[in-house]
Amino acid sequence: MTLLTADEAPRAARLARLHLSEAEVVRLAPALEAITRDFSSLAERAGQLADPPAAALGATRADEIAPAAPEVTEGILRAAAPRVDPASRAILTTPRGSP
Amino acid sequence: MTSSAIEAVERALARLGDDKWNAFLHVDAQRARERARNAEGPLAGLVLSVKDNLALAGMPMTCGSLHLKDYVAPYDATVVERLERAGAVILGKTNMDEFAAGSSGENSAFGPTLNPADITRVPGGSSSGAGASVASGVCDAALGSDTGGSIRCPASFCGVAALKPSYGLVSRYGLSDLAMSLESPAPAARDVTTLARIMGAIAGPDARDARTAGSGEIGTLHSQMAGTLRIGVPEEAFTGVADDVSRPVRSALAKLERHGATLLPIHLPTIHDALAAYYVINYAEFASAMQRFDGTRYGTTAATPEDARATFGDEVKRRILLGTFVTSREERGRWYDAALRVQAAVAADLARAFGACDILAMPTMPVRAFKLGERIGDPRAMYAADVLTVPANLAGVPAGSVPLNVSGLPVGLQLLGPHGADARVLSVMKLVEDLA
Repeated sequence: MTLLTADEAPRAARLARLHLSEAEVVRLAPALEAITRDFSSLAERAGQLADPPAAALGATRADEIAPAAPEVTEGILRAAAPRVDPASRAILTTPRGSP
Repeated sequence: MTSSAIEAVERALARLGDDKWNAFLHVDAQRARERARNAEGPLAGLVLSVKDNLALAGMPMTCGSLHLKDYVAPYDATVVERLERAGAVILGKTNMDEFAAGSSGENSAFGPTLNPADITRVPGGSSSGAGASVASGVCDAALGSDTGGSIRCPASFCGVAALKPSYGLVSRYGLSDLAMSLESPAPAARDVTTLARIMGAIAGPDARDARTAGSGEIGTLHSQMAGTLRIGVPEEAFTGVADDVSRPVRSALAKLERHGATLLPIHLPTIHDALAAYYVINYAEFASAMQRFDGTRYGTTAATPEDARATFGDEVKRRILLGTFVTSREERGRWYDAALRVQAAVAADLARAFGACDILAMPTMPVRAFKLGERIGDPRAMYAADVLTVPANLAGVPAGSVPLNVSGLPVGLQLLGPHGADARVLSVMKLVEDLA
């Protein structure tokens, strides 16, 4: 699967609107297409992997930070609710490293 | 100590001359001389360079980009503050791939850095000037950064020692980030003992970087007897490596074995998945980090958005675009989430390996320094050079590169340890250096 083709350039340009024009995206698209072709097996490879141990990254990162109390997390979510769509809410509540 | 510091600065300035390697973007001789006059502390007498993505108050901080050509840092990075407090004298700011996005030193808006070992070849990146400033004999040591190999690659290509510290051991306060979850300020030096002295000064908790941890007691090299050392050798790490790299690396390992170390074959099945995962995470974090360069908070205040965009190089644009795309709602499952899953598997692989051995050994780079211009038009070939350095960043573990005694272009041996075992990595690097 290819991430980006020239046909998709307008959408990509909108996504990166602060930095790139549509013409620049079209110019860069062949290189991007080649890069993503190289990386296209990533999702398949990830799917083949067993569920990573919860502590796989914990030894270097997550364990060093005390988890927020549930009421704090809930408070953050409530405050953010008007501007957070369901997908983003799922991201906020899903541990990093889990699909 | 003060007179020797002054002499060291004068020697460095004389050696630098007109900087035929394009290693420096800014040199402040007057400031260096003034600092040398008052230099006191464990690093007094050492002359260092600092990569141009680390803040040093009053000096330009361009990150190798035209976008920041007029930016002057208003404060010191924690690592800079600690180096100067320890008596080191900083000569100036070094060249680098734009915003640290590059592996050859050719992506700087201010021209490529040349490799002091052979000026027709790249010095490696992104800390290109850091490597060149030490390899040229100008500086005793350099402070760079390492996100996916950015200090180890120049160390290997130029023939100096370098360490990517454990994630969180060295404060990132004052570092302009490329990918904040992967990177660290990282030193290079003319020898491992000097490298350890630098680490002793910069490591340790910092209230201004909440991710810092550890005691910071890193500066003393423990006498690690080769006879007690179990060195894991992942055969996968030698796949696709050039013969003129793998041969000296295997030879160095054989020498360690003759001195009593045990070499253990180790299986790291995910090592070659790491490259794609690393770059997808890098793109995502980079695109996010670059949003602040909008001409309001940071960056050029151009007349039009088109003019502002023109100040970025193609590699920066590629990464912004890809990062924005792989984190878009429609795509993130296939790319960013998959990358995080592979990252966890790489970290688990390494953790498993460290259950069986004290340290992992492999080449730092799969090739020796290539010719200037050879790969610049092919980002895929450029990325491929990072295949052996990115696993340590994904897992947050320490990794050092120590130069081997070879004829011709330099070759680096890479050593990885468990998180927090930076002193162990440095000790084994010293052992390799002593046996070379």
